[in-house]
Amino acid sequence: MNDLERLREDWARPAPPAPDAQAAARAALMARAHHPRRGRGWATRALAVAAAAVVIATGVSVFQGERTLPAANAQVVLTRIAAAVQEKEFTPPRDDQWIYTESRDAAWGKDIGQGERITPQTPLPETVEPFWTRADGKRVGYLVNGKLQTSNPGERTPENTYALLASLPTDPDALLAKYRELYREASGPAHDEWIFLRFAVTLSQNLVTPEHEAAIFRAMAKLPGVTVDETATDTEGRSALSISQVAEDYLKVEILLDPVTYAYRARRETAIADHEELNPKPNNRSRMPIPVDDKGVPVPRYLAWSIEKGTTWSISTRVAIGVVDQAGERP
Amino acid sequence: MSRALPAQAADAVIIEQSRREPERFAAIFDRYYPEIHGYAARRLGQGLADDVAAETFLIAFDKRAGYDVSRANARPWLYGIASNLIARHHRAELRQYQALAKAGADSPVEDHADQVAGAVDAGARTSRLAEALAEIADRDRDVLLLVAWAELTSEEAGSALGIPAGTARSRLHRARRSLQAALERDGS
Repeated sequence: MNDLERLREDWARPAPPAPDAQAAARAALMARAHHPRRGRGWATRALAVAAAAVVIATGVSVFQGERTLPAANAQVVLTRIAAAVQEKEFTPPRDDQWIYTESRDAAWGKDIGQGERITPQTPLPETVEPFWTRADGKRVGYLVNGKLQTSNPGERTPENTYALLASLPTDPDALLAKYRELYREASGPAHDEWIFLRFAVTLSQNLVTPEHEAAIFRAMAKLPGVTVDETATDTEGRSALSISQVAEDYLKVEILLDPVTYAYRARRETAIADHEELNPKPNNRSRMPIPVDDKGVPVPRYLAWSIEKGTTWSISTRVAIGVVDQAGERP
Repeated sequence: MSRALPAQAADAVIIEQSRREPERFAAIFDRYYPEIHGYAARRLGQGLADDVAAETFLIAFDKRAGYDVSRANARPWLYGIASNLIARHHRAELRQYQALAKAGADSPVEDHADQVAGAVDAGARTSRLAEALAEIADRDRDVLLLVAWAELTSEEAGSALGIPAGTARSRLHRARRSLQAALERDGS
């Protein structure tokens, strides 16, 4: 036996964690998960990048500094969508029923090495995520190694809980104000890109009443930088209506709708300009020490990954949504 | 919905999703809590392991926005966080090794009792290993134990600790030399 094997074999194997300690640790994590420190990361990076003048390659609109309100066309189309979805049929769930969603997610991440360049040819690993949320938000269910597990998620927000969304105002200005308040960032008010993404997430993972869905589209019409493309194509090659906004000056976030019924289909994120992601981040936000070498000298920033203009980085397609009586059931 | 469910989503995919749907992070906890706890228990004993393992996942959750999603597997990242937390209990760790070294074959310390009882040789061997571990420099020991107990490669251990792979290799080499010397010195 060599020395490493001796360490493995001769050192007593630890007893498994005590079930109550594990349960307490999990409960603490779930409580934290429902009080996330809002806006860290994503929006902070958006800020840093926005501060640097980045010129977007030709072929897309070039903007610097202040964004303008959505073009008249976007406002017209969003208003039309709002009027249509307001009329859809809807049966509110009971508090003890569960909202089932299933999304097919493709996101790069697997098998991407440090410094690698992500191009349209990079394979996007796909996963299917079934998820149950009680209408009152008191429990959530998901599969762990194929087995249903439910837990108490603690504090909830309207983007993931039917009852909370249903209690919000349906006036678009009031709804927008509420979202800005709920999803404010630690560093200050929420950025428009962040709010747009919160709306997108709400549409994808929550059951939305017709009145609230209409209010969300009307509120989007008030967010600077939102554009509409009625001749878009979804990932399956079907024609689609795309509502989008550009985050961090390179990442286009799109909501894809059925072009006829305006039913929600998918969210897609695409690089519209070449981008290089450097690590460690310019401003060390983490609680971890800055990485240093043997002599205590900070490790120079390195290229974590880069992405080629035109590459789709993630697609989350909602393949099912419905109301069921029990977690684990499918509509 | 005839699609078969995938076996398991990569950690990076779950972490990426958890940025928008925080409760998804529970899957990372369920996957890794027992082994992170076990690692902390070997270094610090059961009581402190409860604290370290719980805190590891809270910190990981807070830092998920900065997780480098090009790393499919989150183990090195989690062990890096745990290693930093264990470092705060540096004195407790040394006390535990010294106690094990002293205990030798006859009186194993509490946390190792069930495994060691009745196995005199194992007690003696643990004692020698503990003595050697106590003598190895902290930062060398971090790499050694990530490789020996967490079964990371030296490169992963470097990434966990935020040091270059070459540095991790040389620390591992140094730690193993001390360990081998201590074991040979005892004629075993």
